[in-house]
Amino acid sequence: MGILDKILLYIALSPTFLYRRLGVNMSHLRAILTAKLTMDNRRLNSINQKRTKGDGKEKRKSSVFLFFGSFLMGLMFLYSFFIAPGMTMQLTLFFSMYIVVLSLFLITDFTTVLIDVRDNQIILPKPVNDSTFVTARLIHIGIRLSMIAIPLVLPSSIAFVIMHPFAALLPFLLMVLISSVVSILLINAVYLVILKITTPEKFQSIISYIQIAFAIVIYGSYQLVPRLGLKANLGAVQLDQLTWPMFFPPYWFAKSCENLSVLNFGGGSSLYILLSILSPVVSVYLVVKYFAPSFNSKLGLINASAVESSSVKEGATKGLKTGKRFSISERLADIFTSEGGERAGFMFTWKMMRRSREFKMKVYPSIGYTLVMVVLFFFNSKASLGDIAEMTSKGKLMIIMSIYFFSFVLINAINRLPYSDKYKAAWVFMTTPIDRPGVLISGSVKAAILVFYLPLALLIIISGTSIAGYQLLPNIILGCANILTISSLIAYINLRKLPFSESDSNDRQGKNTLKILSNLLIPAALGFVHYFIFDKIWEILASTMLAVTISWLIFYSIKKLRWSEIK
Amino acid sequence: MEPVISIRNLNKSYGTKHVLKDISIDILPGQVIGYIGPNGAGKSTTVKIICGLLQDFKGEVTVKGIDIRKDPVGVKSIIGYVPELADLYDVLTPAEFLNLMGSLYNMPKTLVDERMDTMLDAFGLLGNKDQSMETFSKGMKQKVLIISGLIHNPDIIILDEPLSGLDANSVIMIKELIEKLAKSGKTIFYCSHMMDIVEKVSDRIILIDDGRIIADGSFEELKRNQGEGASSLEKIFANLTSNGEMHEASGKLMQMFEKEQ
Repeated sequence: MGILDKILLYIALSPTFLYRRLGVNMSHLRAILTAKLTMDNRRLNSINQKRTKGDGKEKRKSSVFLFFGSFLMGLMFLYSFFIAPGMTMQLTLFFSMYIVVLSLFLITDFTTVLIDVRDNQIILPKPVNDSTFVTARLIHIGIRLSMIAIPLVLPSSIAFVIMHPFAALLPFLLMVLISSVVSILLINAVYLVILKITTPEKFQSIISYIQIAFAIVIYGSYQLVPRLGLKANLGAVQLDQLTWPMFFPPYWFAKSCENLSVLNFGGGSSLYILLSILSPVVSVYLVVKYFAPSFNSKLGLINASAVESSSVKEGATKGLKTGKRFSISERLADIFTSEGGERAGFMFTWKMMRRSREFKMKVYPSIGYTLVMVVLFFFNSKASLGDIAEMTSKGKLMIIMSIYFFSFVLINAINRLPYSDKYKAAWVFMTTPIDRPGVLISGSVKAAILVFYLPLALLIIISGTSIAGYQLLPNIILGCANILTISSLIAYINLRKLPFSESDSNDRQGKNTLKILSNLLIPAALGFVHYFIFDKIWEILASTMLAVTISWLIFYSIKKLRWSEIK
Repeated sequence: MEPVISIRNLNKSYGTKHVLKDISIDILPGQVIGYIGPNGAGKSTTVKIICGLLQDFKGEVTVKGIDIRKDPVGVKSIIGYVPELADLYDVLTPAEFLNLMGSLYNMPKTLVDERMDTMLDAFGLLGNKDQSMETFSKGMKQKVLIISGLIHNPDIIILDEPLSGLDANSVIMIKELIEKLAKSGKTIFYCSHMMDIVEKVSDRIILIDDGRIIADGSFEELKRNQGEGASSLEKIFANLTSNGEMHEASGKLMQMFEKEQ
């Protein structure tokens, strides 16, 4: 348990007499909460995505990470105090951002807190009374919420005190509390909707996708919003004269805060105060009355490991599309791989990449990050589509950048290939008669290239030729051939392990500076050379041939890797 | 008859820990070997060496005349191994997992598909063929594992606690399957802690303790050697490996509770 948890737990447990009156067993309560908070600390969260396994020291850092992560997010809210004139506008912006960010945090972090079905097996059979159990859960949620909300609000509170009368702080904090409760309702509602439209088995996957989208949105908004926002002129907007904010809870909170701070209770203002106070009450009522009951029964199914075969059958009729005799992956395997080990490695990796939640969590965000980087680059260079069409030097640079930037997605995917939380299942490669394990690796790399680069390459070809015409095609083809060389070279340098055969905790070991540098330098070097031969058609053709040949040779060497060369 | 597995003076150490001490066994075709011993006796290590997973041992091991150190790949292709409590890539479906195994054993896909359907059907899993194994129970996963060890029709089958998590009907089926496989000339190496099943299925029982073979023979022979009181394999096992320590241990435990009262 981190120091933050300890302080919060101490505060939460201090009104002992209150708990005793509720019939709570204090030693049970303390034991349950200590165990829960310790577990939270060792679990991955949306900011600190690295699973901290094995290394005892790092385990304790998770809550500190979360704290600083939310603090950094909180700094972003300061933005609303700088760009908006007047308290109402500032707070409306602030509360909208706060509710959105807090809800996203809670969606990604609360699945494990709200839905710990292990409680049913571990705590419920023990002599623990109901009020202790319920209180423990509520305090747990409260502590988790505070750990996110306090650092999130801290920077804004300071800005608020500086910019506004001190007396307004109390109503401000009250409204923060109210909006936090509303956020909990919001995620409850989201959970319920997700559960309504899909099966509990898919629930976790959807949460993962939200998590990925969250990471990309945060990254993108950090990079892009300050650049775009400066152009918006908020001074001209008069919120009070518009009608739509009246239906918008952040506006109620902002209005109430403003009116409470000057003790203005006249007509319209008390309406907003009433709405603000009613909204959490109504939220709690709705959650308890309507959401909670159906919720818990369905949640029980989410983590259930053994599903009876009857329900398995139901779930499976939709879902996996394996019934087809010849799937796309099999056709591609026929074209790009040889029989036996390489084909096995290809098919295996193809399926694992597309289904393993863990792999997606690690790789998919990089697609978004790269996209943001390219857009950012586009903004910074002030290049226009005309530059690309006419292939000015700016346009050329844009084309080269977008081709080679996207190779980072593929490089990231290739470097992730050996890792899996199911790494122990790699025994299948040891007990079967594999002569050259390199064929598995080459099949696996081919699958990664087809899944992660082919769509991007097609996108670049289509968008490139539609903007600049067919004369761009040789350059794009050279780019793709170079990406092939880059990825095979990086696979040859970095991949000395079988696909999905290593524990995640070994991820950082064995990554030396040279390897990380090669990940950046190889694409950069090839992109650099490409830029200089951009207009020389013969050089481009020759380079393309060269790149294809080199890639083929590298793949040949990967296939020849022996057991003694595999770690 | 030429032994199908021949182990001569096998020694294996992990660091300073000497796990296998001078083990020599000859196994004939069609034999069902029950390989038993206390926890940590060296059973799994022996199995891993026979399967070609461990290479740094002293002594000689040949499987069907192939030296395991010279051609581990050749040995792996004639052995079917069902590991204990094995992990599976459970995002795959049984069909996909078995196809993976088939490819790794260099089998043509049509053959894999054909055998897979028959075997999944025999285990009552045909309806679950295209479902992700994430939702499978322990027993269902174990059945898939057993199929994956048999799909390439190996001459030698090594089963490490294969019945864990299986229901009674599947246990009966596996027991019958072992008998039939042995009759057709396959050699079966069966490691287990379930003495009653080992007693019934094996025609030769090898008991190892602390890295040494301390008994080797059919159940009848072991019974004869142990004399009076050795009515079951469980009792023989206890006589040979514990010197009555477990009676003492359970006695101590009871004393602890009685003192507290």
